[in-house]
Amino acid sequence: MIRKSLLTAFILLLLHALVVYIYPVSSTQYSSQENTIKAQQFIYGGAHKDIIIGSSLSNRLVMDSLRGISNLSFSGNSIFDGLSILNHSGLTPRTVFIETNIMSRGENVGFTSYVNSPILNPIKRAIPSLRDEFQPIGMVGEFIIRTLGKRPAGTHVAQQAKASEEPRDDAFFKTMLALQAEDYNEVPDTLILQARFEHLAREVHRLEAKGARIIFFEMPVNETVCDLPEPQMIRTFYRKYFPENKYAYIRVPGCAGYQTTDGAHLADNEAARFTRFFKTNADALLTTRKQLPVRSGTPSSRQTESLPEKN
Amino acid sequence: MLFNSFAFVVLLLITFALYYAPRMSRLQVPVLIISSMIFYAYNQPVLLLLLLLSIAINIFTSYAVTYGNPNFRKVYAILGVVLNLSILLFFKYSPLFGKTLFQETSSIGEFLISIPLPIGISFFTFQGISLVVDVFKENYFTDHEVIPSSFRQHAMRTAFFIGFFPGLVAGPIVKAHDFLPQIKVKHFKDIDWERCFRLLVMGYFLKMVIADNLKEFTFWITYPYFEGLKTASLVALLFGYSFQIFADFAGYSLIAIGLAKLFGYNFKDNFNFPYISLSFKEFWKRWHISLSSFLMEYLYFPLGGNRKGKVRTYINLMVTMILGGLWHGAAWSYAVWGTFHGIALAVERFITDRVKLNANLVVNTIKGAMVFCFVTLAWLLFKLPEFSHVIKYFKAMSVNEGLLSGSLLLYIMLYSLPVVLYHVNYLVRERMAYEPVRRMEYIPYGLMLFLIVTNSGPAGAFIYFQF
Repeated sequence: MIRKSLLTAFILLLLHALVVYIYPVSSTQYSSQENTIKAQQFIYGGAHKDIIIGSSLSNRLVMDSLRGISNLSFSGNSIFDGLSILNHSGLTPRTVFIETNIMSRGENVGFTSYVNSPILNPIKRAIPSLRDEFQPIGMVGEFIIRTLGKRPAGTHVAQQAKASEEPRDDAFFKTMLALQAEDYNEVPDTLILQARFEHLAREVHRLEAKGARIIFFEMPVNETVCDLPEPQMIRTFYRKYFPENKYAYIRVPGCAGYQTTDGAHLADNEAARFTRFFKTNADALLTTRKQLPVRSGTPSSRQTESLPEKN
Repeated sequence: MLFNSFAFVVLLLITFALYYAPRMSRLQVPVLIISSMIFYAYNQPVLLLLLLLSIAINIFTSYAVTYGNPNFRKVYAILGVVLNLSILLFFKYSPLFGKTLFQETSSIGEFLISIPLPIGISFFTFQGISLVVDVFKENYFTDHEVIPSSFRQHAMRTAFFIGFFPGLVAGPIVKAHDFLPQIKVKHFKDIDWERCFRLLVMGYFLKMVIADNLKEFTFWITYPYFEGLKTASLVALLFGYSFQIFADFAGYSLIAIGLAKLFGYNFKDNFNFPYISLSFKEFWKRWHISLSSFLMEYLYFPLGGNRKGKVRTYINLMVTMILGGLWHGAAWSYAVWGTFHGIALAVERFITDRVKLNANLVVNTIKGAMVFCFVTLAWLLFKLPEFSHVIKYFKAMSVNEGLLSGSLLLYIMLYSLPVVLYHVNYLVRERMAYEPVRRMEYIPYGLMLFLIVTNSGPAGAFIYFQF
């Protein structure tokens, strides 16, 4: 019985590999899986030289408008996850855009140890059918959904479960905004924040030593929470650790006018608007690259460069 | 340490190799004790001190009951039970007392709330109580049969009984009278490989493929996210959680039983297809059997069971279920959960004493559906320990009218289907027509292995770890 079961499992693995080879239906079932798939696609060959590192806030950026840039922003996680993946990938990036909003979370070790696993990584690199985007139940689900014509490929349950990506003004939005405000009103523990910034500084210096240019950016949030104590304190720490006369920042002139789905995450059309602003600023900063002095291993000398937002 | 972690696999392989190594037979118990301590201390080494304290209490009190002054047997036994319960009360319920009796900002309130919950404390303290009570009552064995006169040997056996890693952090709760007589030299040739294979494959499949994937969907039951969902989605998520909690805990129990069996020890079944139950009484005979039988044996019967009249029977039922609910967690919502089940058992008893229904397919289906729906609704108190959030969930269910996302329903159904089939398989397996299916059982086991490799969800702690 044991031998026959093992043989059955082996045959199923071969059949699955064949199906994936002939009909590679990628499926995303939930948001943490979206994170894993995004990380695996980056690790197994989908990486560009310019990389965005961020949280779920930057996950809203419209990447179709930012061709040539990889986005390592993960829902529910922090910049430290993207930095860890980038570090383990061995890639030498040209530019790293780091989101500055969220510093209340550290690295999600469960997630990064899975995607950076020294045992699983070589296996999944060699056998694509074992990657998370090709999970058999996900493929079956995707096949059924496509057959029924319920939704276009690529959208997934998590996105739908988050309800609409349209701006809202109902009771749910108000609850979320109130919780967001409560969260942003809390002053973070200075020691923890200090430890996180020191960690970030080490990562930044490591990237600079490889010749990468670092550009910080802040995602707009609902204007009522934009300048509460936590974001203010985080901005102060950024200014202290990464002075504006040495590092480039893409800053939105203000949060006013940006609509969100829950107080923090931009609605679809607003994300598209901010993406245009981000692209204009990023392009301008990248074209000035050669004129700016870059010193390996130490912070480079740059002026803060923020262009006005274009609608 | 998680059963589905790489560290555990390494520990298991080393332990297994040493355990069955030639000329190591006399050291089998010490090997398992050391391995169990590493298993327990892996994430928070300091908590090992508490486990050792619990073991020490039970070594001394059970030895004193057996070999101490016969006039003080009862005193030693009471002391053992009280000390075990004190540890449980202090470490598990201090935060609840802190929140209920004191202001959270007061120094004593702050202190009580800050006490950490050591993993597995509810399980190993209950095993300790079982040892002291079994030794005192001598219902199952005479003490001298299982408590050796050598204190060193007794200490070793007790440490092994309480600390044996498969059941250490989330059960099944093993009773002293079931386990102690099994302690002897085990041989590699006696391993029932096929049974171990079945238990481990089924257990890991339920945990890694079903529970770990379903938990990513049922995440949306968390406050305040559920407030943004429609009625139908909220109902679907609740049923998804019902399947998830079964897959999670039954999966863990099967893995624990399979691992114990690899080392030659038999744990009793902890789940017996609970979702086919036609009554609440039957449900509790099929769900978390080791806990319900423990509560029945060491709480309900000593309270008088059903021997002291009808009113006392109802009271005993309620007390047992409320305490059983509180055993699950230090929040009043768990007591409410236990109360709901206690009321359901009492009402069911009241009705069945008076009304006899003919057992036919329609009646059984309605009874089974009622029990399943009630149990499923009650699980919400597990997922949302804040009682106000439970109320908000039900409010959202009644207010946020609308259909659910098709893909959400589809994936909940796809991941719940194996649990349904698992129960259906149990119902039809005695029928003659099932015989050809039985001969091809290797196909579902092969499929489960394949899905463990290709379709596991993000590894998460077992739900019952928090208890």
